[in-house]
Amino acid sequence: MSSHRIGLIMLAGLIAGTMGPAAFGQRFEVGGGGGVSFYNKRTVTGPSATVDAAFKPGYSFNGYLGQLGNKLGGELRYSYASNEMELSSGGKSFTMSGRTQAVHYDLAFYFNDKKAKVRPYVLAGGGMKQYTGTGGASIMQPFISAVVLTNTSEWKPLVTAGGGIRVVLNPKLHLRAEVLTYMTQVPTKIITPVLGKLDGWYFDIVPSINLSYVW
Amino acid sequence: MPTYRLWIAAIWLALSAGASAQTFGKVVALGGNSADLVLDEPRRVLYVANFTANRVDVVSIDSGTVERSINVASQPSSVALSPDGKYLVVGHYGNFAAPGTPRNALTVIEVETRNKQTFALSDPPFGVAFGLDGKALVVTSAQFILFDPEFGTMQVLDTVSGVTAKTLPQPPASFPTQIVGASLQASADGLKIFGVTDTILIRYDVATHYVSSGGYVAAPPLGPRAISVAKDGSYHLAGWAMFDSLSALSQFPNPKGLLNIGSHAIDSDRGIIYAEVPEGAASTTTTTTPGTSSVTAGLPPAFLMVTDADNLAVRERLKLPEHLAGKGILSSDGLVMYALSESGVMILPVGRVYESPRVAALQEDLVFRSNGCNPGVVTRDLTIVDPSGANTEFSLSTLTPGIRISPSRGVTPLTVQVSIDPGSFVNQKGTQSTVITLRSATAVNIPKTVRVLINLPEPDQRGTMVNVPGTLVDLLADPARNRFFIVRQDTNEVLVFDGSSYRQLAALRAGNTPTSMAITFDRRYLLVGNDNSQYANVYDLETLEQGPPIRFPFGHYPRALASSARAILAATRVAGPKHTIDRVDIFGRSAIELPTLGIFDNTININTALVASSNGGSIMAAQVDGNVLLYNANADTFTISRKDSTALAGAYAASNFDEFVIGNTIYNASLVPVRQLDNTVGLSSGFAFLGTAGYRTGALTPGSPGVIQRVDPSTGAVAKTTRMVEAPILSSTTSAFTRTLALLPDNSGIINLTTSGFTVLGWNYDASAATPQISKVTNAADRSRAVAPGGLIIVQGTNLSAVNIASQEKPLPVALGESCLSVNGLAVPMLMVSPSQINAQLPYQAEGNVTMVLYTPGGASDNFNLTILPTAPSVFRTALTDDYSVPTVIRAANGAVVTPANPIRNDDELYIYLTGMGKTNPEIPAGIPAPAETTVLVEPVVDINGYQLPLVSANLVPGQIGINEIRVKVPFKVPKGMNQKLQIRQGGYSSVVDVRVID
Repeated sequence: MSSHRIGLIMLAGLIAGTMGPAAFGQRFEVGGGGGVSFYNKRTVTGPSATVDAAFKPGYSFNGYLGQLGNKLGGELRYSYASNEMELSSGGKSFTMSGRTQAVHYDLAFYFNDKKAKVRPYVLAGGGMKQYTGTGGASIMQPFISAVVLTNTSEWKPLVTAGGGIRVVLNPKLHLRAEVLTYMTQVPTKIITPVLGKLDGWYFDIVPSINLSYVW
Repeated sequence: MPTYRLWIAAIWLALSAGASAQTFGKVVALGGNSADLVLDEPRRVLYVANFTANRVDVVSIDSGTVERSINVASQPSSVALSPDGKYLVVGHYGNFAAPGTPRNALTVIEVETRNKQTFALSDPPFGVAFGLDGKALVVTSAQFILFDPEFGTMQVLDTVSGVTAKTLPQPPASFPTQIVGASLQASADGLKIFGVTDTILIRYDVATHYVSSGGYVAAPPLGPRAISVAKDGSYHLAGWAMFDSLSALSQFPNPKGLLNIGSHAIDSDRGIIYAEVPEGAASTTTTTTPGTSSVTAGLPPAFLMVTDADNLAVRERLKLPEHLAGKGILSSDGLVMYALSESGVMILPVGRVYESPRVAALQEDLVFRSNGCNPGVVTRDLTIVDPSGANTEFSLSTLTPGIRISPSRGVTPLTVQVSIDPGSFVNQKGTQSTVITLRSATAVNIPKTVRVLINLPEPDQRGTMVNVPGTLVDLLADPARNRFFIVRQDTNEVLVFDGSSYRQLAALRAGNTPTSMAITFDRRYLLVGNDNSQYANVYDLETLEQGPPIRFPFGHYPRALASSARAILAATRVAGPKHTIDRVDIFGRSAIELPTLGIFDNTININTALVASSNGGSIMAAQVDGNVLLYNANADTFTISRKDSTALAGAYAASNFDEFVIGNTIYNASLVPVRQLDNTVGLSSGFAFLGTAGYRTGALTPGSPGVIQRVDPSTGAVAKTTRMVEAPILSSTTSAFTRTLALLPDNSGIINLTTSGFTVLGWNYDASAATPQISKVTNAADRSRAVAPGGLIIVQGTNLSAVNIASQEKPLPVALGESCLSVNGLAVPMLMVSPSQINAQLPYQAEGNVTMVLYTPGGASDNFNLTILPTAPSVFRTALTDDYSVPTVIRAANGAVVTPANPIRNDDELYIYLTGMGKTNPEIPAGIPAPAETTVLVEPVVDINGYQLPLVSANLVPGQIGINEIRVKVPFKVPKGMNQKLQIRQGGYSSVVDVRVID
């Protein structure tokens, strides 16, 4: 079964599991915001060089639709981020512009009840994330025997986790400050090992500020 | 022979004899002696001053006929049209001597109304030309006059004294250009006017009304008496000499100096000069050269040269119906040249030269070599084309027995076979040089001959010949970089060769008729002296870019140069009473004539060679009259001048140990001849010192093998004599001194300038050669042992060649670097040879179990048995980095090779380059570039992981040797991923390469 289909099944399960209780919940919210995206880096060991493969810091924005319970909530979220991809080794580097899009469902667990003005929470969920190399095709890349960047797209299953603080500005308007981590395996169609080996996970940490309309 | 064939032959001969030769340009006969002309483009007419008929003939430039004639005062000698086209001003050279009455005058003609007004002049007018301000400069024998045609006023700008003018009458058969002896021409922008008379050169600035003139002496006279000016006036031609704003630049070589024969016009937009400047070596007969109709006793045939404007290199020669005879002008678009001619005026559609029928051979040289693999008849292709694309008849002939041309006549384009029978040249152990003459009655050009070089060496003859066409006159190795330079005089170029591969790296443009080279002591610059340019070219040795030239004093042509640690000296031919040695200022890019050569007069023979010792301590001058000179860098002066022989010629060299060589004589530090070299091998052609030892080359005749000797200069003893594959270039009357031997700085080889080009000798050329051995044969693409007919192969082993050399010839030679390879007795064309590897192409006839043998001076290798499959497709590899290569599969979408970063995508079209696809249709011989549409006989099947790709074509790459190309489409459903298996199956063989495929 392809990773694409596994991801879809996970997403459906999450929605089914959380939207059910939400039918008894009292409130819903819609909102969006923006933030900054930071990645860890992976290392590729090629025949003649060790190359760092990373996404440079970029910007991110997202939109979500969710429900709010007393201690439990859930939301379906779309996230977009733009990060330049970079291969570097020995003072040389090669970059290609890139973007990611993610669709995921997260469960939120609040530490105090819904009447509180300030509500810390943690998030966890999953979905799918698409990586796309958007730069022009560069045929001769400096680390071509180890790893290359490719201008194509690839979907990867996504696991999310994070936390934040919800501040009730007024009954209809909430401010959310949160840090969310997007975790996927390395997208090897985009960052493609040639004679080297590349595996493991990318952690995309996104601190963001969001504004929600609640009803 | 059947009777009807005899009849056909007879008819053909009759038609050939009766055919009139095609010439370029149309003659308009005027019935008098024309003296000057001017073009009126808006009215589409030429005004031609008819000197003897006392009229101005008006010639239509459309019909090429005389529309009408304007009767004017006597002896109209010059004519000019005002910039607004309103006034025609005619100068009358009526310089009649007593008892006649002078009738010198100017006539102003209003072109529209035809009203005329004549103004008397006190002195005979040499010429008239209009500036942009609408006023005419009139040059007389005593004054420069600014004439306003509207008001008829004359303003004397300046006077000139000491200028004599011929008087009338003159002896019979005198022409206006000889009588008036002057020509005036304005630049097309109307801002400058230049003039030439028998004794002065004139320059007039229209904006400032400043006229300058200076006397000159020219031998021979500065003919033809015509002046041509670049559009912006930045340079101009006066007779056979070219000038810029500073001084004289260049000249046409060896001019005859006739005032009344020849003409020229400058197309500065295109960088071209059209010129007829007869050369000095005049014919003394009245026979007609084939293809020309002009018969003038004592003159060469009439032809128009198309030359480069910067260095007068001749691109083309066009046959003229008669000689040009004075001023030439171009239409404003540069497409038509109008020039005075013997009968009146000639209209030359120079812009359509390249549409005119012409014939040319694609090969400058045909080289025939026999070797251990190929002792029989050798055949070469010779392709005759018409560059205009027309079908033009031609014939080929040679006077040398043993050379067969088939067919010897035809219509362009046509490739004919030229073959030699080695049996006819059995006693020819060096290189016989002869020519094939190309003729065409319908072509307007004079085609170049094709040089035929026949070399049939014996096994003991050493060296690898590299063919370089043209007239090669000097050789020099770069002491700091592994390169060497050869002067190709006929194209005004310096050819740069790599010292490792012997491939030509560049062709540097020189001045006119480059003669010799020198490298500055700091190893930064290459200097090139020219016999027909008054400057030396300077090239940066790192970048090979040309810098500003070194300008020499007026009339000085630097023929030889040498650089010591202290001074750069030039032996110059001087258009004056004596030839001199000049000192060069490399930073100022100038030179000055040395006042004296130490205590000696600065006067040298025109044929003087200069050479510096490589330690920069001295420069020796060898003169053909026997004089020698020595410049000492420490003393910064000439310290020695001697004459111990009546004539000197041949090689010249200087050592770092105060020894010198000229010809066969060794000189000591005082230039006293102390020893003689071996005379039995002829006059030395090349000599090179290597420390205290030396190498010397020579030959008895140009067709003999030639020899190279190791020489001990301290005793003159010859250590060893080795025959070379051909003779070095020998001393001649036109080039007495020869420098034909150069040692490469990395001690990898010895370069000799020889009959066919250059010959490479390994550093240990005379060591006994070891027997070659073949250890492995693989295809040249994926290096597997699967090889097929026509495929490119790599032969590995030991002692395969004494030198490392790649062929630049097409067809590929079957003997290269003294090595030849055979498969079952069939000669194998080779691309490259080296001691451990040979790259070659298998003959198409070779198949199955075969035996390969390599022949070198060390003998024949053991038999190497291999199996040649009918087909063995193998994909070439493209190295992307030192450690990573990919199969040579090209995506048509971006023309780039498929890599992990440029993967195959859906709907791509791919070009796969490989070798070993076997026989083709049509069948072609090995070693020749593939013609278009040469398909493989056995169709291949291409798939990716078993998914078949639709085949578009499978053929040989046109113009390439042994390289196949497969074109396939990539369907949508082809498997995706890294390292997908792209398989090519053909016949019973398949090969697989990995490629990346994505959506």
